[in-house]
Amino acid sequence: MIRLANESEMELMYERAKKYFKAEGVVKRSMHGLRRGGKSPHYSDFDSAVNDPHRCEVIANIYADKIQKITRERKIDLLSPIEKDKSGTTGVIRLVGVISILTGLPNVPVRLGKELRFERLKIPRDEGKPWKGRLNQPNVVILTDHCTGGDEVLKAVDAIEYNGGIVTDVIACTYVPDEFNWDAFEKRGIIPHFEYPLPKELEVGDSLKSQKKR
Amino acid sequence: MDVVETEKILGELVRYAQELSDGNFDSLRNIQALVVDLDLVEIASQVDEKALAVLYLIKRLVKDFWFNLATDASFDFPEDDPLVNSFSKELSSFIWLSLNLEDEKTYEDKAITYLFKAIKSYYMILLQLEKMAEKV
Repeated sequence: MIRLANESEMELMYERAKKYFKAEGVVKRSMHGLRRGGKSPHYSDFDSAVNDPHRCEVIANIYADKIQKITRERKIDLLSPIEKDKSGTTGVIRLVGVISILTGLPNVPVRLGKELRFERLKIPRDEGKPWKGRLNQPNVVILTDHCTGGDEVLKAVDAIEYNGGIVTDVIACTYVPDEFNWDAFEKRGIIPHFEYPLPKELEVGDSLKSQKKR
Repeated sequence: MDVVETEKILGELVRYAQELSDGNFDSLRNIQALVVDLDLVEIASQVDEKALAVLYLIKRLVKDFWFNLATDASFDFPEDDPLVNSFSKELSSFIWLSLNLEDEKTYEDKAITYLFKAIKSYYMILLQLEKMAEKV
């Protein structure tokens, strides 16, 4: 039986996750290439966070807790993790089965690598209806690991809307506050939920002492 | 995306290619930013087969380059490597020569023209399916 952590357990999980992201080697110093060609002197390694079963449990519970809080405000019907299109990490895809179990919500990945817009969500067609708009207007929460500007999430929003869904929220573990395009999300009525801003609040200096510096 | 916007993208691609041949590596970043979210199905009917094929090949190759050498890599991006410089110049020449290919004088010209035609046909198939998706 897999269950969502209770309130006191959740508090501990948030603390453990914060410690983890501050740990040596998690926020890395590297001349790291961003998806849109830009560069960043550091990045967080989400994949290594979910390699370990205990950390995986913590991160999955944080996503599930955020989703539970959203569902107190509005009805959510579907979770959509972004399947990364050759842009780096495998992202939250590895966690989504557990998050689905913890929240009791179904999930459908967004496949941004697909050229055809109706293929970007792998859902069956209703006989007698077109492929486009075949979802019956469910409220959708997009899940991703990290947001820099948010362009990739906006592409996922387009894919979900084309197929008939309504994106209400996006959840990411880490983000870059100064780079994130808050206006674009506000204009589309989508609420972003983040946990750890990079790099300032994570004090990357301490976590980088064994890392190569440029 | 309309024809004017598509033409603007092609103009920028040519400009970045020129800058890349002059040794400005940042232009490779600009090319990645230009093509990474470009929806080729959307513009397939607005451009000729040369332009569509160049955008397709550049999008795929630069994406592979970025994926394997830059994003989420466990090493620093080797920006100063002479091979990266060679890659940049060769890519730049490919863009310029392909967009300006007029006569099929050589065997190689013919081969690349058939590659371009195949890419155009591929997108015509995708366009048909996109249209089908809107019908019952």
